[in-house]
Amino acid sequence: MNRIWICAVVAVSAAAVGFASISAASPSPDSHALYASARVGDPAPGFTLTDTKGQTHSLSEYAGKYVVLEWTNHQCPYVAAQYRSGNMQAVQKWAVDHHVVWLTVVSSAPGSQGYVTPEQGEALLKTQHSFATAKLLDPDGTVGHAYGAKTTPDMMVIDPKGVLIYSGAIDDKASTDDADLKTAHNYVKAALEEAMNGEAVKVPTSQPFGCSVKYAH
Amino acid sequence: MIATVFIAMQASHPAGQGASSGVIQLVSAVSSIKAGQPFDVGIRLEPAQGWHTYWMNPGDSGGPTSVEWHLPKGWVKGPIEWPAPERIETSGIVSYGYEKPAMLVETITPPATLPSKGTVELKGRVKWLTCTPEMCRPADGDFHLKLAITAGTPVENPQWHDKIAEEASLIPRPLVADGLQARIEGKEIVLTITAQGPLFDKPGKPYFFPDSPGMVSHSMPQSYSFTATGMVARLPISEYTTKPPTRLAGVLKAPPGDEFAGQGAAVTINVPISNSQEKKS
Repeated sequence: MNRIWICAVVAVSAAAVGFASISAASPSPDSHALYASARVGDPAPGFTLTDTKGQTHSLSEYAGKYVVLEWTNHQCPYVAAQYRSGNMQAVQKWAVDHHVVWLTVVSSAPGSQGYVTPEQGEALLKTQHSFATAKLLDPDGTVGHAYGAKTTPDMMVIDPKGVLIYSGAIDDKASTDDADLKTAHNYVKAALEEAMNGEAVKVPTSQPFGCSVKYAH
Repeated sequence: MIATVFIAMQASHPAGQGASSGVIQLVSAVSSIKAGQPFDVGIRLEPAQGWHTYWMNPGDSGGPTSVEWHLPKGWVKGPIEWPAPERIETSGIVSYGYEKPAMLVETITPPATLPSKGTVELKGRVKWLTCTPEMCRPADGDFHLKLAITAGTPVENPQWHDKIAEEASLIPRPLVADGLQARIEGKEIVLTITAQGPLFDKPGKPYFFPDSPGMVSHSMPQSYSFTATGMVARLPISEYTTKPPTRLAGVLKAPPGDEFAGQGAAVTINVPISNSQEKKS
């Protein structure tokens, strides 16, 4: 596409994304507090959350299985690139085919980018062709903060004993460009494969990249 | 000539649509250029009220602005020179970037031989990510700078020459000190700076911005103590690494309103880290 050279300010285009004000009903944690982060090698914090179908999921019910937690915000460009390129779905499919429980978590506060109602979240699972076991709703950010989830996509892998064995970026590219993702090394898949083979996870943590989780603040 | 261009930024993702998140301007210090004579250009980032954009290391979230030049053969561009960032905290997540207008500076060098007159068009593309605490929005835009070629003295761009020179003078440069040492102690990197006298005029809190992830934690608190001849900084090792970092590199910012004597409000640090714990064992 040929863009035209202009010497005038052009605003970034029109039409607001469905964007309401921040809900005053959400609990408002002290924005200066440092939240406890789950550390690799430690037991993963327990939780119970409701999914987009209205069913509850507790970490404890998945004891004996590998569990992946994927923080998401479908409007975040880094998340969008993962789904647009098919990268995220490919790893999800590989994981669930290997009996891994894949839980996508939405910690966006009501009114913030990525927040979804149960119906919207359910519809997205279909339009994104997600292979996730369930999409969990965490609008007050309790579980996100318990894990120290910083970005979308921030990824955590929990082993069958309930120990956190990976925390961080989904891959080594930190890009919103589909072309980069073709050659990305996926840390989540690598961690699962190594752990399933009884090997030490080579990269047990990495700086997560993406949009900040849009917590209530 | 077009030595100052506003870049028409287009949302590069459907979620990026909405009111403007800010403006990017490409500005040249000169409106005419001469063969072999380097000149500076500024990429002026002006996030809209409430929005911010990101430093070379974006911290816990976000992504750096990128500038891709499509220069004619024989032309050379220098690296982006980044002004010292701000620490931007939301819900315990600490990002590094700019909430106020900021200018990235690049030096462009024309080839040694050029026609003695005419014009040259320099093209490229800028990508940036802007965020508020509630949302992020990526955008990109092409630019096209049109400059006259001269055989004589290049003409300054009156609107921007002095401003670019001022911004370039504020880019952090390596700290000059009597001593500069970094070592690991437990879960911290301890940086010791030795100088001829006190480092700052009044008590206050400096801040160290690591220039890449996996070195110093972006969100855990740093602590500083001062002596009559310098300062000791205790910087928590990144929570996202399992290997002790071997180099401390980044920007150290003086306490607000203060500066490193004669060296500006921010300096760069780039020192190897000795692992004293390994030496003991």
